[in-house]
Amino acid sequence: MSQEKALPTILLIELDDDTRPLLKHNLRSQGYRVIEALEEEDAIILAGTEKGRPDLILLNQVKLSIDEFLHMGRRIRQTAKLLSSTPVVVTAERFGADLEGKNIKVGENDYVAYLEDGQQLMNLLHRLLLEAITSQQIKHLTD
Amino acid sequence: MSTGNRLLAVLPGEVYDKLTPYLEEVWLERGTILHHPGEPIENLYFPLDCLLSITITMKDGSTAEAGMVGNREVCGINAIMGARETTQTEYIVQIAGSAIKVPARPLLEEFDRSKKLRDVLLSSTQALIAQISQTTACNSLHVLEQRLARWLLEAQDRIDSDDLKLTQEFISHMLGVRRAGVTQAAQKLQDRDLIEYNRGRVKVLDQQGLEATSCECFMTLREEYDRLLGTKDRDG
Repeated sequence: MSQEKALPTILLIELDDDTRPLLKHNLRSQGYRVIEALEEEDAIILAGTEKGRPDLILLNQVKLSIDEFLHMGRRIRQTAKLLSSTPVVVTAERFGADLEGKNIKVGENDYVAYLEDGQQLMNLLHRLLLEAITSQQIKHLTD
Repeated sequence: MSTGNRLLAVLPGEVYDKLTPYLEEVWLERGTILHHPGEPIENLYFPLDCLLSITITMKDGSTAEAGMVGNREVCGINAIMGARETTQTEYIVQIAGSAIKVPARPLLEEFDRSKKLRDVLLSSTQALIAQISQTTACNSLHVLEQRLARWLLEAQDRIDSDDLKLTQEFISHMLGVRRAGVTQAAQKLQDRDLIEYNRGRVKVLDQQGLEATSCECFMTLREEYDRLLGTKDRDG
Protein backbone atom coordinates (compact mmCIF):
# COMPACT_ATOMS: atom_id res chain seq x y z
CA MET A 1 0.00 0.00 0.00
CA SER A 2 2.71 2.46 0.99
CA GLN A 3 4.52 1.69 -2.23
CA GLU A 4 1.32 2.24 -4.24
CA LYS A 5 0.65 5.58 -2.52
CA ALA A 6 4.14 6.64 -3.54
CA LEU A 7 2.98 6.62 -7.15
CA PRO A 8 1.62 9.91 -8.51
CA THR A 9 -2.13 9.82 -7.88
CA ILE A 10 -4.81 10.97 -10.30
CA LEU A 11 -8.42 11.50 -9.26
CA LEU A 12 -10.48 10.59 -12.31
CA ILE A 13 -14.04 11.75 -12.91
CA GLU A 14 -15.16 9.90 -16.04
CA LEU A 15 -18.87 9.34 -16.49
CA ASP A 16 -18.75 7.36 -19.73
CA ASP A 17 -18.82 3.59 -19.17
CA ASP A 18 -17.03 2.83 -22.45
CA THR A 19 -14.18 5.24 -21.80
CA ARG A 20 -13.58 4.77 -18.06
CA PRO A 21 -11.92 1.31 -18.11
CA LEU A 22 -9.73 2.25 -21.07
CA LEU A 23 -8.58 5.54 -19.55
CA LYS A 24 -7.89 3.86 -16.20
CA HIS A 25 -5.87 1.17 -17.92
CA ASN A 26 -3.86 3.69 -19.94
CA LEU A 27 -3.13 5.85 -16.89
CA ARG A 28 -2.07 2.85 -14.81
CA SER A 29 0.18 1.59 -17.58
CA GLN A 30 1.94 4.96 -17.42
CA GLY A 31 2.70 4.32 -13.76
CA TYR A 32 -0.04 6.38 -12.12
CA ARG A 33 -2.28 5.40 -9.26
CA VAL A 34 -5.90 6.09 -10.22
CA ILE A 35 -8.79 6.72 -7.90
CA GLU A 36 -12.15 7.23 -9.53
CA ALA A 37 -15.45 8.87 -8.74
CA LEU A 38 -18.66 9.26 -10.67
CA GLU A 39 -20.01 12.21 -8.70
CA GLU A 40 -18.61 15.38 -7.23
CA GLU A 41 -19.67 14.48 -3.68
CA ASP A 42 -17.89 11.12 -3.84
CA ALA A 43 -14.82 12.76 -5.33
CA ILE A 44 -14.65 15.25 -2.45
CA ILE A 45 -14.94 12.49 0.17
CA LEU A 46 -12.26 10.37 -1.56
CA ALA A 47 -9.88 13.26 -2.14
CA GLY A 48 -10.25 14.37 1.49
CA THR A 49 -8.86 11.11 2.88
CA GLU A 50 -5.16 10.57 3.45
CA LYS A 51 -5.28 7.49 1.22
CA GLY A 52 -7.10 9.20 -1.62
CA ARG A 53 -5.31 12.53 -1.79
CA PRO A 54 -4.63 13.15 -5.49
CA ASP A 55 -1.76 14.99 -7.12
CA LEU A 56 -4.00 15.90 -10.07
CA ILE A 57 -7.71 15.99 -10.85
CA LEU A 58 -8.75 14.77 -14.31
CA LEU A 59 -12.29 15.29 -15.56
CA ASN A 60 -13.64 14.18 -18.91
CA GLN A 61 -16.37 16.42 -20.30
CA VAL A 62 -19.67 14.59 -20.78
CA LYS A 63 -22.99 16.39 -21.33
CA LEU A 64 -22.18 19.43 -19.14
CA SER A 65 -20.15 22.39 -20.43
CA ILE A 66 -16.39 22.73 -20.09
CA ASP A 67 -16.92 25.57 -17.58
CA GLU A 68 -19.16 23.39 -15.44
CA PHE A 69 -16.49 20.69 -15.33
CA LEU A 70 -13.79 23.26 -14.54
CA HIS A 71 -15.90 24.56 -11.65
CA MET A 72 -16.48 21.02 -10.46
CA GLY A 73 -12.73 20.36 -10.42
CA ARG A 74 -12.04 23.60 -8.54
CA ARG A 75 -14.77 22.84 -5.97
CA ILE A 76 -13.31 19.36 -5.38
CA ARG A 77 -9.85 20.88 -4.89
CA GLN A 78 -11.12 23.53 -2.51
CA THR A 79 -13.65 21.48 -0.51
CA ALA A 80 -11.30 18.52 -0.07
CA LYS A 81 -8.65 20.99 1.11
CA LEU A 82 -6.09 19.99 -1.50
CA LEU A 83 -3.12 22.19 -2.30
CA SER A 84 -4.11 25.08 -4.54
CA SER A 85 -1.30 23.96 -6.86
CA THR A 86 -3.07 20.65 -7.54
CA PRO A 87 -3.76 20.78 -11.30
CA VAL A 88 -7.28 20.42 -12.68
CA VAL A 89 -7.45 19.09 -16.24
CA VAL A 90 -10.65 18.91 -18.26
CA THR A 91 -10.59 17.02 -21.56
CA ALA A 92 -13.04 18.60 -24.01
CA GLU A 93 -15.60 16.49 -25.83
CA ARG A 94 -16.53 18.41 -28.99
CA PHE A 95 -14.34 20.95 -30.73
CA GLY A 96 -13.18 22.10 -34.14
CA ALA A 97 -9.99 21.31 -35.99
CA ASP A 98 -8.57 24.73 -34.96
CA LEU A 99 -8.40 23.61 -31.32
CA GLU A 100 -7.31 20.04 -31.91
CA GLY A 101 -3.96 19.23 -30.31
CA LYS A 102 -4.01 22.24 -27.96
CA ASN A 103 -3.76 22.36 -24.15
CA ILE A 104 -5.12 25.71 -22.99
CA LYS A 105 -4.33 27.11 -19.56
CA VAL A 106 -7.47 28.68 -18.14
CA GLY A 107 -6.41 29.43 -14.57
CA GLU A 108 -3.40 29.31 -12.27
CA ASN A 109 -3.35 25.50 -12.36
CA ASP A 110 -6.31 24.66 -14.57
CA TYR A 111 -6.19 23.32 -18.12
CA VAL A 112 -8.54 22.34 -20.93
CA ALA A 113 -7.11 19.70 -23.27
CA TYR A 114 -8.44 19.39 -26.82
CA LEU A 115 -7.06 15.99 -27.61
CA GLU A 116 -5.76 14.98 -30.97
CA ASP A 117 -4.74 11.63 -29.58
CA GLY A 118 -4.17 9.84 -26.30
CA GLN A 119 -0.45 10.60 -26.20
CA GLN A 120 -1.20 14.32 -25.94
CA LEU A 121 -3.02 13.72 -22.66
CA MET A 122 -0.25 11.50 -21.30
CA ASN A 123 2.37 14.14 -22.15
CA LEU A 124 0.34 16.87 -20.44
CA LEU A 125 -0.28 14.80 -17.30
CA HIS A 126 3.38 13.82 -17.10
CA ARG A 127 4.47 17.46 -17.25
CA LEU A 128 1.87 18.75 -14.77
CA LEU A 129 2.47 15.96 -12.27
CA LEU A 130 6.21 16.50 -12.41
CA GLU A 131 5.69 20.21 -11.72
CA ALA A 132 3.09 19.58 -8.99
CA ILE A 133 5.18 17.00 -7.14
CA THR A 134 8.33 19.11 -7.39
CA SER A 135 6.38 22.08 -6.01
CA GLN A 136 5.06 19.94 -3.12
CA GLN A 137 8.57 18.74 -2.29
CA ILE A 138 9.91 22.29 -2.26
CA LYS A 139 7.01 23.35 0.00
CA HIS A 140 7.80 20.52 2.45
CA LEU A 141 11.45 21.51 2.55
CA THR A 142 10.71 25.17 3.18
CA ASP A 143 7.88 24.63 5.74
CA MET B 1 -11.42 -1.13 -66.61
CA SER B 2 -10.51 -2.57 -63.22
CA THR B 3 -12.62 -5.32 -61.69
CA GLY B 4 -11.10 -4.79 -58.25
CA ASN B 5 -14.57 -5.05 -56.82
CA ARG B 6 -15.27 -8.57 -55.64
CA LEU B 7 -18.86 -8.64 -56.93
CA LEU B 8 -17.91 -7.47 -60.40
CA ALA B 9 -15.08 -10.01 -60.38
CA VAL B 10 -17.44 -12.93 -59.82
CA LEU B 11 -19.99 -11.86 -62.46
CA PRO B 12 -20.11 -14.27 -65.40
CA GLY B 13 -18.46 -12.81 -68.52
CA GLU B 14 -21.68 -12.53 -70.51
CA VAL B 15 -23.39 -10.56 -67.75
CA TYR B 16 -20.41 -8.27 -67.31
CA ASP B 17 -20.29 -7.67 -71.09
CA LYS B 18 -23.94 -6.61 -71.12
CA LEU B 19 -23.34 -4.12 -68.31
CA THR B 20 -20.05 -2.80 -69.68
CA PRO B 21 -21.59 0.07 -71.73
CA TYR B 22 -23.09 1.47 -68.52
CA LEU B 23 -20.07 1.06 -66.22
CA GLU B 24 -18.11 4.20 -65.48
CA GLU B 25 -15.06 4.45 -63.24
CA VAL B 26 -15.39 7.51 -60.99
CA TRP B 27 -13.32 9.11 -58.26
CA LEU B 28 -15.20 9.72 -55.03
CA GLU B 29 -13.97 12.46 -52.70
CA ARG B 30 -14.15 12.03 -48.97
CA GLY B 31 -17.35 13.47 -47.51
CA THR B 32 -19.36 13.15 -50.74
CA ILE B 33 -22.94 12.13 -50.02
CA LEU B 34 -24.02 9.63 -52.65
CA HIS B 35 -27.55 9.29 -51.44
CA HIS B 36 -29.84 11.29 -49.17
CA PRO B 37 -32.61 9.62 -47.12
CA GLY B 38 -35.94 9.48 -48.93
CA GLU B 39 -34.54 10.05 -52.41
CA PRO B 40 -34.78 7.46 -55.22
CA ILE B 41 -31.50 5.65 -55.84
CA GLU B 42 -30.36 6.66 -59.33
CA ASN B 43 -26.93 5.02 -59.34
CA LEU B 44 -25.19 2.12 -57.69
CA TYR B 45 -21.47 2.16 -56.80
CA PHE B 46 -19.10 -0.81 -56.77
CA PRO B 47 -16.11 0.46 -54.74
CA LEU B 48 -12.63 -0.40 -55.96
CA ASP B 49 -10.47 1.19 -53.27
CA CYS B 50 -12.75 3.68 -51.54
CA LEU B 51 -14.73 3.13 -48.34
CA LEU B 52 -18.40 4.09 -48.07
CA SER B 53 -20.67 4.10 -45.06
CA ILE B 54 -24.39 3.64 -44.67
CA THR B 55 -25.26 5.97 -41.82
CA ILE B 56 -28.27 6.96 -39.82
CA THR B 57 -28.64 10.43 -38.32
CA MET B 58 -30.90 10.99 -35.33
CA LYS B 59 -33.06 14.08 -34.78
CA ASP B 60 -30.46 15.53 -32.38
CA GLY B 61 -27.81 15.31 -35.11
CA SER B 62 -25.92 12.35 -33.72
CA THR B 63 -24.80 9.86 -36.34
CA ALA B 64 -23.92 6.19 -36.32
CA GLU B 65 -22.85 3.78 -39.00
CA ALA B 66 -25.30 1.07 -39.95
CA GLY B 67 -23.15 -0.63 -42.58
CA MET B 68 -19.78 -0.44 -44.29
CA VAL B 69 -19.35 -0.76 -48.05
CA GLY B 70 -16.06 -1.46 -49.78
CA ASN B 71 -14.61 -3.58 -52.54
CA ARG B 72 -16.65 -6.63 -51.61
CA GLU B 73 -20.04 -4.88 -51.71
CA VAL B 74 -22.19 -2.60 -53.80
CA CYS B 75 -23.68 0.63 -52.50
CA GLY B 76 -27.36 1.20 -53.30
CA ILE B 77 -28.64 -2.36 -53.39
CA ASN B 78 -32.12 -1.07 -52.49
CA ALA B 79 -32.39 0.09 -56.11
CA ILE B 80 -33.11 -3.46 -57.22
CA MET B 81 -35.76 -4.00 -54.55
CA GLY B 82 -39.42 -3.05 -54.52
CA ALA B 83 -39.02 0.60 -53.58
CA ARG B 84 -36.00 2.44 -54.97
CA GLU B 85 -35.78 5.00 -52.22
CA THR B 86 -34.46 4.46 -48.69
CA THR B 87 -36.29 6.15 -45.87
CA GLN B 88 -33.67 6.67 -43.22
CA THR B 89 -30.16 5.87 -44.46
CA GLU B 90 -27.54 8.06 -46.07
CA TYR B 91 -24.56 6.86 -48.14
CA ILE B 92 -21.35 8.81 -47.62
CA VAL B 93 -17.74 8.47 -48.79
CA GLN B 94 -15.46 7.92 -45.80
CA ILE B 95 -12.16 7.19 -47.52
CA ALA B 96 -11.64 8.71 -50.97
CA GLY B 97 -10.97 6.43 -53.91
CA SER B 98 -12.33 4.90 -57.08
CA ALA B 99 -15.60 3.10 -57.72
CA ILE B 100 -17.53 1.74 -60.67
CA LYS B 101 -20.75 3.69 -61.08
CA VAL B 102 -23.71 2.10 -62.85
CA PRO B 103 -27.18 3.62 -63.39
CA ALA B 104 -29.91 1.78 -61.52
CA ARG B 105 -32.26 1.30 -64.49
CA PRO B 106 -30.09 -0.87 -66.81
CA LEU B 107 -28.85 -2.87 -63.82
CA LEU B 108 -32.43 -3.51 -62.72
CA GLU B 109 -33.39 -4.57 -66.26
CA GLU B 110 -30.48 -7.01 -66.38
CA PHE B 111 -31.34 -8.16 -62.85
CA ASP B 112 -34.82 -9.09 -64.08
CA ARG B 113 -33.37 -10.97 -67.10
CA SER B 114 -30.34 -12.74 -65.65
CA LYS B 115 -30.51 -15.35 -62.90
CA LYS B 116 -26.72 -15.23 -62.60
CA LEU B 117 -26.77 -11.51 -61.83
CA ARG B 118 -29.63 -12.04 -59.39
CA ASP B 119 -27.64 -14.75 -57.61
CA VAL B 120 -24.63 -12.46 -57.16
CA LEU B 121 -26.62 -9.42 -56.01
CA LEU B 122 -28.87 -11.43 -53.69
CA SER B 123 -25.83 -13.15 -52.16
CA SER B 124 -24.34 -9.71 -51.68
CA THR B 125 -27.56 -8.56 -50.01
CA GLN B 126 -27.43 -11.58 -47.72
CA ALA B 127 -23.83 -10.72 -46.85
CA LEU B 128 -24.81 -7.12 -46.09
CA ILE B 129 -27.63 -8.32 -43.83
CA ALA B 130 -25.09 -10.60 -42.10
CA GLN B 131 -22.77 -7.61 -41.61
CA ILE B 132 -25.52 -5.41 -40.17
CA SER B 133 -26.76 -8.21 -37.88
CA GLN B 134 -23.28 -9.04 -36.58
CA THR B 135 -22.48 -5.37 -36.02
CA THR B 136 -25.69 -4.85 -34.06
CA ALA B 137 -24.84 -7.73 -31.74
CA CYS B 138 -21.20 -6.65 -31.50
CA ASN B 139 -22.11 -3.10 -30.47
CA SER B 140 -24.31 -4.47 -27.69
CA LEU B 141 -22.01 -7.14 -26.34
CA HIS B 142 -18.37 -6.26 -26.88
CA VAL B 143 -16.11 -3.67 -25.29
CA LEU B 144 -14.95 -0.64 -27.20
CA GLU B 145 -11.37 -1.82 -27.64
CA GLN B 146 -12.61 -4.99 -29.38
CA ARG B 147 -15.09 -3.03 -31.50
CA LEU B 148 -12.47 -0.52 -32.62
CA ALA B 149 -10.09 -3.34 -33.57
CA ARG B 150 -12.89 -5.04 -35.53
CA TRP B 151 -13.88 -1.81 -37.26
CA LEU B 152 -10.30 -1.06 -38.35
CA LEU B 153 -9.89 -4.61 -39.68
CA GLU B 154 -13.17 -4.36 -41.59
CA ALA B 155 -12.08 -1.05 -43.12
CA GLN B 156 -8.62 -2.37 -43.97
CA ASP B 157 -10.07 -5.48 -45.62
CA ARG B 158 -12.37 -3.37 -47.80
CA ILE B 159 -9.75 -1.04 -49.25
CA ASP B 160 -6.84 -3.51 -49.17
CA SER B 161 -4.58 -1.00 -47.45
CA ASP B 162 -2.94 -0.76 -44.02
CA ASP B 163 -3.06 3.02 -44.25
CA LEU B 164 -6.47 4.41 -43.27
CA LYS B 165 -7.13 8.14 -43.53
CA LEU B 166 -9.54 8.42 -40.62
CA THR B 167 -9.85 10.86 -37.76
CA GLN B 168 -10.74 9.70 -34.27
CA GLU B 169 -13.80 11.97 -34.36
CA PHE B 170 -14.99 10.26 -37.52
CA ILE B 171 -14.44 6.78 -36.05
CA SER B 172 -16.40 7.80 -32.95
CA HIS B 173 -19.37 8.72 -35.17
CA MET B 174 -19.12 5.42 -36.99
CA LEU B 175 -19.01 3.40 -33.79
CA GLY B 176 -21.66 5.56 -32.13
CA VAL B 177 -19.45 6.26 -29.11
CA ARG B 178 -17.81 9.29 -27.56
CA ARG B 179 -14.65 10.60 -29.14
CA ALA B 180 -12.81 10.23 -25.81
CA GLY B 181 -13.53 6.51 -25.88
CA VAL B 182 -11.97 6.12 -29.32
CA THR B 183 -8.98 8.24 -28.24
CA GLN B 184 -8.29 5.95 -25.28
CA ALA B 185 -8.99 2.72 -27.17
CA ALA B 186 -6.64 3.83 -29.97
CA GLN B 187 -4.00 4.75 -27.38
CA LYS B 188 -4.22 1.29 -25.88
CA LEU B 189 -3.84 -0.35 -29.31
CA GLN B 190 -0.93 1.99 -30.08
CA ASP B 191 0.82 1.20 -26.79
CA ARG B 192 0.75 -2.44 -27.85
CA ASP B 193 2.25 -1.55 -31.26
CA LEU B 194 -0.83 -2.81 -33.09
CA ILE B 195 -1.59 0.49 -34.79
CA GLU B 196 -0.01 3.89 -35.21
CA TYR B 197 -2.22 6.97 -35.09
CA ASN B 198 -0.94 10.27 -36.37
CA ARG B 199 -2.88 13.33 -37.48
CA GLY B 200 -5.92 11.72 -39.07
CA ARG B 201 -4.18 8.56 -40.27
CA VAL B 202 -4.38 5.12 -38.76
CA LYS B 203 -1.74 2.65 -39.84
CA VAL B 204 -2.24 -1.01 -39.05
CA LEU B 205 1.16 -2.29 -37.86
CA ASP B 206 0.26 -5.77 -36.68
CA GLN B 207 -2.76 -7.30 -38.36
CA GLN B 208 -2.57 -10.62 -36.51
CA GLY B 209 -2.29 -8.81 -33.19
CA LEU B 210 -5.26 -6.65 -34.10
CA GLU B 211 -7.26 -9.75 -35.06
CA ALA B 212 -6.40 -11.31 -31.70
CA THR B 213 -7.58 -8.14 -29.92
CA SER B 214 -10.79 -7.93 -31.93
CA CYS B 215 -13.88 -9.84 -30.93
CA GLU B 216 -15.01 -12.92 -32.84
CA CYS B 217 -17.17 -10.76 -35.12
CA PHE B 218 -14.45 -9.94 -37.65
CA MET B 219 -13.61 -13.58 -38.41
CA THR B 220 -17.28 -14.64 -38.32
CA LEU B 221 -18.15 -12.04 -40.94
CA ARG B 222 -15.11 -12.80 -43.07
CA GLU B 223 -16.10 -16.48 -43.16
CA GLU B 224 -19.69 -15.59 -44.03
CA TYR B 225 -18.61 -13.31 -46.87
CA ASP B 226 -16.26 -16.00 -48.17
CA ARG B 227 -19.07 -18.56 -48.00
CA LEU B 228 -21.51 -16.32 -49.86
CA LEU B 229 -19.21 -14.64 -52.37
CA GLY B 230 -16.26 -16.99 -52.69
CA THR B 231 -12.90 -16.83 -50.98
CA LYS B 232 -11.04 -13.58 -51.39
CA ASP B 233 -7.45 -13.72 -52.58
CA ARG B 234 -5.57 -12.29 -49.60
CA ASP B 235 -2.09 -13.16 -50.75
CA GLY B 236 -1.78 -10.26 -53.14
